[in-house]
Amino acid sequence: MEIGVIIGSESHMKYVVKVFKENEVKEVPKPEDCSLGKFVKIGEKIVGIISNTTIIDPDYGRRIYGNVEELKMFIPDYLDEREKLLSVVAIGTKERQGVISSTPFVGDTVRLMEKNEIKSFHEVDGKLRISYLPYLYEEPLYDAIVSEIVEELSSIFPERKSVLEGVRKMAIWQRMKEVYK
Amino acid sequence: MIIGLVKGVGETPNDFEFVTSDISKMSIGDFVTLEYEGMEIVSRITDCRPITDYPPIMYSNPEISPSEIALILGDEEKELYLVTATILGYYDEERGEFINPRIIPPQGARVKYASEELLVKCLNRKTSRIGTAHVGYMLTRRDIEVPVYLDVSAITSEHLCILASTGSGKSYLAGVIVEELLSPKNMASVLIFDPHGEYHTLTEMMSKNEFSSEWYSPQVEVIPPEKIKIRFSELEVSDISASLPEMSERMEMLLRRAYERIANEPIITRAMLKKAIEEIANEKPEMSNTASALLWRINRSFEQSRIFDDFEHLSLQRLFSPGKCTILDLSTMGDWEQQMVALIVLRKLLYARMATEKGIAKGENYLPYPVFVILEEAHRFAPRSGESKAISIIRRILAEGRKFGIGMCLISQRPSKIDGDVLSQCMTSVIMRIVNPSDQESIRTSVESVGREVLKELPGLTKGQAIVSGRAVNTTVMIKVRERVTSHGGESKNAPEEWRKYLENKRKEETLPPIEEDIPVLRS
Repeated sequence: MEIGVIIGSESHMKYVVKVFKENEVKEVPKPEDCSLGKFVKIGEKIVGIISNTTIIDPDYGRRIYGNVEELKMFIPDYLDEREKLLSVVAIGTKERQGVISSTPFVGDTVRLMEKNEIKSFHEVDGKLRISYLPYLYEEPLYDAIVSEIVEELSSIFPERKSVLEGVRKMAIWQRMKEVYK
Repeated sequence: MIIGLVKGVGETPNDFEFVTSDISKMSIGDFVTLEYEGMEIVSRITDCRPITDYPPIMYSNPEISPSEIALILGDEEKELYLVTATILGYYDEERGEFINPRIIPPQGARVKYASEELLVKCLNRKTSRIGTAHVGYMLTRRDIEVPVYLDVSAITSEHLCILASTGSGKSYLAGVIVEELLSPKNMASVLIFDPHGEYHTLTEMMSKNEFSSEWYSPQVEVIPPEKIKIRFSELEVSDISASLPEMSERMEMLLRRAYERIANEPIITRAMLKKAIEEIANEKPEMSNTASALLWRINRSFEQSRIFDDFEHLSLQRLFSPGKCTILDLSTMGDWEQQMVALIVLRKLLYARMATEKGIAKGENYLPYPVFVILEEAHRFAPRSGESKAISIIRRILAEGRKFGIGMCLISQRPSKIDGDVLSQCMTSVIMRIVNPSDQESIRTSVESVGREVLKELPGLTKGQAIVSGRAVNTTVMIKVRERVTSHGGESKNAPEEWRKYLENKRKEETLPPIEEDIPVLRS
């Protein structure tokens, strides 16, 4: 399912994605499709993870009365300019986890990954690997992102649930240690 | 086999640290080698600790190891360990010892696991059959047995101590050493002071083929307490005086005067001494009260004790002979009697060996071969505090015995209670499990050959494991004691089993039914 499009980047690893709205795609992504920790594919090869969300209101909160139909008719630009943006950290390509060599470009489509794609991305020589966490560590919501990753992977690799739980605990502990140091 | 790389020097210039991922071979006390400057340097492992620093939270689930979590996170490196080793040096075969090159090993030098062949060669001062005592195998090598031999000439000239808490196997080990000494490769002359009567099983040596050759078979004689006799004339006047309780100056003077009167007699009996005292009292009536008191004391100390005899005694020729082990069973004697036996036997031995070496020995004093004496419960004979009749002769033998071919083996479960000077003269030590801190401290201060790293290992040893250090080996080595050929006479009693057996037998005698096996569980 396509959820957005690349509109810019903050670094080699981190990209800004504008979430599709009505009329842009057939199936408009629901809020839960764009939530933290979702695995996404940028273009054909690059694998990323949603690390943050921002929204833009061009009218800075000015109240405009009227129902949606009326607003569409009288001030359509206002609705067009309200955006939901996602931060996506590139965590590898479909072949391997790690720093990407070729970067996505503006306009590349971003879509949610299927379970089987997530499984194959996380299997290295038939064994579960999550070697990309260091690239997410600087994210303000690092522990929450790891929790979401663990949740997702536990459903795909139920036999590794307890080890994944250890990974989650460690992420929370690392963040707690930083906050309360 | 390369197991790691040198990281740098340790706390002292003699220590170095290396990093390895192979923990399976990193036993404390084992040996590694490294090659630099064209030398193969042997070093002893003294410490090993992990350097892969996992966050504590990774240990929160006892069922999941931190390395499993680390592996998932992409850390495919094996856990790494920082090992500290102390440089012993390269082994100089001609000199038969380690020589420290005094060169710090370079960073990145390859560390190898010391081969069994090298260890056999360099740990033992001798590996030939003659003059060695095979006491056990290296504790840290489980796959291939690396034998450890004591140099018999070193222990019989510069003494040996076996220190261990009770039940650690010290008399078992002493039995192993005696087996080795009496085997055809050594044919030693051994005397054992046996306060517990636990060495009698060594008589089995006489009937076992392992101890015999074409023309040799060891002799083992157990002398029971009732047959151990001290001839009264073997006592010096100072021995008699020191054995009498609460002596006044007048009594002392009277005793010496009486003794002087009979000193030139070929044999001095108790009756002769008492008669001489009575004569003086008759000559000087003012001494009669002193004489009565002195005679009462002599009767009390020398007539009531069964070890003194006017004529019978233990000849040195009976006690000592190459290929013979004599066991003095002191088990039913009091401390004072045991000390008197040790005093007289050891003094006679020292004087005989001195006279023989000087070429002036006659008759019973002629003892033309070195001997080895084992003193069980040495703290009774040479205590750190308190009185012992035998301590001065033991000190003297330990200090001078080397020159006259008298070797001693001191065995004790309380090193802190042994006289420090005595312990410090034992140049080879075999130390088994010791937990008591004061005993450990005593070993640290008195036993020269024991290093700091050895003391750390003492509480962790189990029964039958020992640390051998000192002159009889080239370096300190941890061993498991070999199995005895003869049976062990000092096994601990299984009290519950013996109580039960006693009652079962009693019921059988009374024709009562056997004890019910359905034992009720006691609840509070």
